[in-house]
Order: sequence, then C-alpha cells, then structure tokens
Amino acid sequence: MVNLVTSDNESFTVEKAVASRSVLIKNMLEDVGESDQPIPLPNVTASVLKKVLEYCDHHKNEPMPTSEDLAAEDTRKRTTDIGEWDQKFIQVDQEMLFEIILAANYLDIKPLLDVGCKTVANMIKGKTPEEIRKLFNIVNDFTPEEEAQIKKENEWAEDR
Amino acid sequence: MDVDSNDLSPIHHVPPEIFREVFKFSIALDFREIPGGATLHLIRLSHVCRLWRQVILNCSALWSDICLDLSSKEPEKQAAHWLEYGGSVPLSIRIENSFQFDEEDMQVDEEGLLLRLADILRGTMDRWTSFSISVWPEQAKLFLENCKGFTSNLVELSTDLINDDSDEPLPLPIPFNLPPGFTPTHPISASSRYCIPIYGSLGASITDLDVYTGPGDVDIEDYVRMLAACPNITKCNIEGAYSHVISNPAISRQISLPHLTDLRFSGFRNVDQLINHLRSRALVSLRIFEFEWSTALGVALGTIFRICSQLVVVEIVAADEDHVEALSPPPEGSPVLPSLSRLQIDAHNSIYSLLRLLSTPHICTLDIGDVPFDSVRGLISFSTQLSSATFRKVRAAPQSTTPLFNLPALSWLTIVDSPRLLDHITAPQLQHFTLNSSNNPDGSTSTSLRDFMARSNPALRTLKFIYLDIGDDDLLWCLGRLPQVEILEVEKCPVSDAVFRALCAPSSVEISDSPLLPRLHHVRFYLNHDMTPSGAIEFFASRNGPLPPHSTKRTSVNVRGSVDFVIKHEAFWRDVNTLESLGAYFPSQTSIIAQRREKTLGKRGLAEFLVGDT
Repeated sequence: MVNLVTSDNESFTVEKAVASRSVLIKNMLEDVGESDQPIPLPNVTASVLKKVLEYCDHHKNEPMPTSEDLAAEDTRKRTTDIGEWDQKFIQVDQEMLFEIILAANYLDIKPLLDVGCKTVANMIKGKTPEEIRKLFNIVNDFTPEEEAQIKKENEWAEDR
Repeated sequence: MDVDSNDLSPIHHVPPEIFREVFKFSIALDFREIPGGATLHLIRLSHVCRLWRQVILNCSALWSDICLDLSSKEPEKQAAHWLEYGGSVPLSIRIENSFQFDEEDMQVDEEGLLLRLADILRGTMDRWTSFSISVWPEQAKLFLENCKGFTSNLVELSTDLINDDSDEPLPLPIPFNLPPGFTPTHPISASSRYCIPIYGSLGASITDLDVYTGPGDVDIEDYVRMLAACPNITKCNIEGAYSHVISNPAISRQISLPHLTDLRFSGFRNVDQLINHLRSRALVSLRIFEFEWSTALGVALGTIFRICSQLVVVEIVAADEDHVEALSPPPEGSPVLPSLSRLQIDAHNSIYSLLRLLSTPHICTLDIGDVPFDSVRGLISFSTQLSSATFRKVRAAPQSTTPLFNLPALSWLTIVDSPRLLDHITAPQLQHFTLNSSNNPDGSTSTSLRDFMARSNPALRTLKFIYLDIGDDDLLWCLGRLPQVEILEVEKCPVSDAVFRALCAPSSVEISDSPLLPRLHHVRFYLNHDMTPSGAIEFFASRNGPLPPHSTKRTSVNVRGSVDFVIKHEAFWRDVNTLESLGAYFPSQTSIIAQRREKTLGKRGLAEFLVGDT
C-alpha cells in the first residue's frame, strides 16, 4: 500500500497498482524503494485526488502507455472519442474538470490528461470565439494591432 | 490572458502546453472530414484571447495538415496562412472541390486560382508526406502541370478525380520526382480513380498501386506507361467497371515487375490484354474477377502458371454473364505450381486443357466450378494436403465403384450439383459436409451418399443437405452413423416428422440413454415437404424442456435454430402458436426465445421460427 498526502493535509492509502498509474508516483516509489514514508502531493487537493484515484482504480489493470505509443501519437491519429466509463467519470463541473487536468498533468497520468483535454476539445467544438470566452469566462485581451489582424483573417475565414 | 479579478477558475492556471494538447484534439478527425474545417476551427480558436492565439500560432504541428477546398473562398490565401504557421513541419496536402462544379463551368479566374495555388505549394514539395487531389480531371491536369518538383518524403499519393462515369480515364502525368541520385527510402502507396496516373521518377518508390479506371475503355498504351513508371511495385490492384481494354498492335512491350507479388484485376472484359503486357515471375497471389473468358485468356493464364512457380493463391471468377464460346488453346507442357495453396476458379472451356495438365501437389483449398470431371482429376489426384474443397457443377463424372481420390486431410467438403463425384472420393477426416443437388442430372443420390458415408466413415460435426432426393430412411441412416454432428441443416428434402421424432431426447424411462446426435446444438430445417409444426414442437420440447422426473443430468445439449414450413391449411396456425410458446423451455434465457415470423401469401404461406438465441 502507498500513503499519499494532499496539499490540504489529507491522507490517502491506496494499492501500489493504483498509485502507480501516476508516472510521477511510480518513479518516486522506484527511487525510494519499499518505504512507509507518506508521499506528499503539494499540488493536489483532497477532493481532486479522490477523483483522480477513482480513475486510477478503474484503470489499474490496463497496460500503461509505452513510450512507443506516445511517440506514434500524432495529430492525424487523434480522435475526440472518450470511453463510456470515462465520459461519466468526467461529467464534473468546469472547475473540477480543469483541476483534474492540472492534477493529471502534475502526476503524469497521460490517459487521464487526454480524457480531460478531449472533453475541453468537445466543449469548444463548433463555438464562436465569443461563445468560448463566455463559456470559460475569458476576457478578450487583444491589442489593437492583433484586432486588426483578426479582422483581416475573419474576412476570408468566416465568410465560407 | 487577463481575468476578472474575482475569477479563480483553474482554466487560468492551465499552462500553454495543455492548451496545445486540447487544440490538437480539437482538430482531430471530426474536422478533417470537412474540407477546410480544421483551418476554420483553428482560426476561430486563435481569436479567443492572446494566450490561445500565441499557442496556436506557435505550434507548427497544428498546421501540418493542409486541406484546401477549391470551392471555398481564396484557398490560396488559406494555403499561404497554413504554410506561414506550419514553419518547416512535414506537410499533408489535400486539395478538394467539395461542390464539384462541372469543369465546363471552370472560369478563367479559377484557372488563375489553380496556378496561384500551384505556385504557393510548389516551394514546399520536399516536405510533403501525403498528397491527395480530388477535383475535376482538367483541374487536376492544370494544377499538376504547374506543380513539378521533388517529393522525396512522400509516402501517400492519391489522385481521386471527379467523374460522371462516362468518360474514358484520363492519362494524368504526375510530375513528382526524386532528386537525381536519391536512393528511395520510403515505400509509397499510390492510388487513383478515374484516371491513369503516369508517375514521374517518384514512381520508382511506389510499392503499392491501386487504380480504378471507371467504366470507360482503357488504352493499353496508357496502362503500359503507368506500370513502366513503377518498376518496384509489390502490390497492384487495377479495377475497371466491366471496361474494355483497347489493344494496339504497335504496343508489344512487356513491363518487367520483378518485385510484384500480389496482382488483382477486376472489371476488364478482355483482361488478357493487361496480363499479356506484364512479366512478373515473383507473383504469389493472382486474383482476377469480372471478366469474359476467351481463348487468349486461356493462353495468358497458361503462361502465368508456367512462369510463376511461387504462386500460393489463385482466384479466378468471371463476370456473371453468358459465357462466350472460346476454343481451348493447345497445351504447352504441364505447369507445376508447387507452392499453390488456394485455387478458386470458375472454369471455362478455354482453360480445361490447362487444368487437365496443371499439377498442384500442395494445394490446401480448392474451389472449382463448371468443369468436366477430367479437369478436376489432375488437381486432386495427388493432393494429400487438401483440407477444404468445393466442387460446383463438375460434369461427366464416370460411373465408378472404385473411388479414385483418397483425400486424407480433407475436413471441409461442399459438392454442388455434382453428386456422382461422391463415388470417387474417400475422406476419412471429413468434419463439415454440404451436399447440394438442386440440379441433379445424374439421377438418385441415395446410393452414392450411403456408399460415401460407409467408405469414409467420417466424424462429421456439420452436415447440410440441400435439395436432395433423399427421404427419411437415407437421412436417418446417415445420422445414425454420425454421433458427433453438432450442426444439422436440411433444406427442401422429402423428409418428414419421422426425423424430428428420431432426434427427440429419450423419455424419462430411458433417460440414461443418449439421443440420436447428442451433441446437436443448432438446426435449420427449411421447407422440407413433410415436416410439420407439431413434429418440431415435439423435437424442441424434448431437447429443451424440463428434465424428466428423477433425472439429474441431461444427456444432450439444448438445440436452437430455425424451422420454416409451408403453411398448407388453417389448422397449422394452432401449432404455430404452440411452437411460439417453447420459449418457456429456456428458463435461463432472457433474449427472444421463440420468435415467429410469417409471410402470409394468401391461404398458403411460410412460417419461420427462430428457436433460442440463433
């Protein structure tokens, strides 16, 4: 078993196979060897880690992506398809979604990061820039020069 | 990216590299299906905020796939935009004409557009990994004439032209070349539709060639030029639409393709013209479909069989048209194909003499039809490895009491309209046997069948009798010798409910006894004249119903399958309803157990039952 401690000082004891879905934790365990010492995760809160561990537990028996898998993955082969269980798993509010993405990135859990990124990609599909800004509460911060360039691009990009 | 002062949404902490991943997913397959869709989407995303714009414009990998739609607004500017942001990444180029305006409508400015587009893209040709063009023939011609250059990194090349199915295929020069002295490193897969591509020096790198010429006639000269430019192909598929090949006595050149292993022609009436201009000794697989038999084709095949000793698979199936009479060419020696493993051929008198002489000592799978018996004889006489054989319409088998062919490895046998062939075969390892005799010119099957079964004594697992003139006695005699049968199909045979009764599970008194065919789990009884619903009820109920009292173990497995009846009178419908209720005998099944389908044709009709999870 592995003991993980979150930024808000909560402790989680999980199977090694579950914790090792995180390449970060897996490498730490390999470096440290067998130890009862808790592993601190200063960038992850308890509520987010709970969710991440739910994902890791569900996928604990699946093969880890190899370096060849990752190298072969180019934009051509990508799809925005998400498995059924993962779809339900990622049905969370926007704040939690981005927290999960940030945690997956920090913990180095590529499949979970992909699920998060695909979800965001699906959210912005078919939306105008204004709709996207509204969706994520993003401010239009372009300089006047950039605005002029955008206007020019719009002339042939939008009128299609 | 500025944020509202009170906005603590974690999106504002997401680093650029994660946005880059999001954008890569964002332009994945869904958008690639729409010409220009990914461009438009990326541009829209770059208009959201400064951070997103920087990420998008600085990630050249996002701009590596260029899809240009000629019917969209200013595609040449889109191309320039893509190339600017793509930096020096390898490029995948796709040019399309989504609205498919008729080429006659092509305006002068559209010609200008194609020239400008060619100008823009020409400078990047050495970075192309994939190029695809799907436009009208004249548009393709104009673009390609003005886009000559070296494409040393290309691995996929497609010229998929728009056509209305009426024109002859355009010989389309593709001026993509390899630099002088360049040693090809990437095998190229090339395909084309509605044209005959004439490749530049790049053709030396093409290993996989797939061409559909359309319904128009093919000029043999174009065909020869196309293949001459691809001396290293290993796989070649050329399809027409039952087209003619226009021969030209002046073109006698044979193209040497020393690496060609897989050759497939389909849809050329006089396919012999295409075959005769090839010299490919390395052929492993030869497939020819949708053609007309001719004496010339018989000669061409004879030449291939004599030269290509490494052939493993041969499939030759003519178009389903009235056969044209042709003379059998004179034999030229006996070809031996020592590696041939699979031969499928719908034969014709133009190759009977060739088949008679052909020797295939290691053949495993044979599917042959429309042949006289003596053409089959040579193929199977010494075929100790033959494991699967289908014989259709093997004519003029002599009456014999001494079997000619002992086939020790044969496990699958299908005989169609050639029942007398049974007299010549012994197959002790047979497991799957289909006998279909809808057209039996040789008379009764009963004796031949019984003799074959007694002689071979096979442990059959599958038995299918279709259109046989055998009654209950013959069928039950066979089944009595075949306790291993798991699948039984009987179609349009004069058998009755006596067969159902014989197949019933034993009653409670004799429960320790196995029924006839204890392993039977699937049946199909189709329109057998004297089988009735009540017989089927008795059979299915005994095999699938509750165990008899005091018995703990069933001695046979449940039986599922379908039964079709000819409805002769109204009383049948009562039995039909009873048969439906058989679902109750499958207590653990939740799927549809007994489903009734009926097609009433006036007072007569068909009723079909699917019992169990078929």
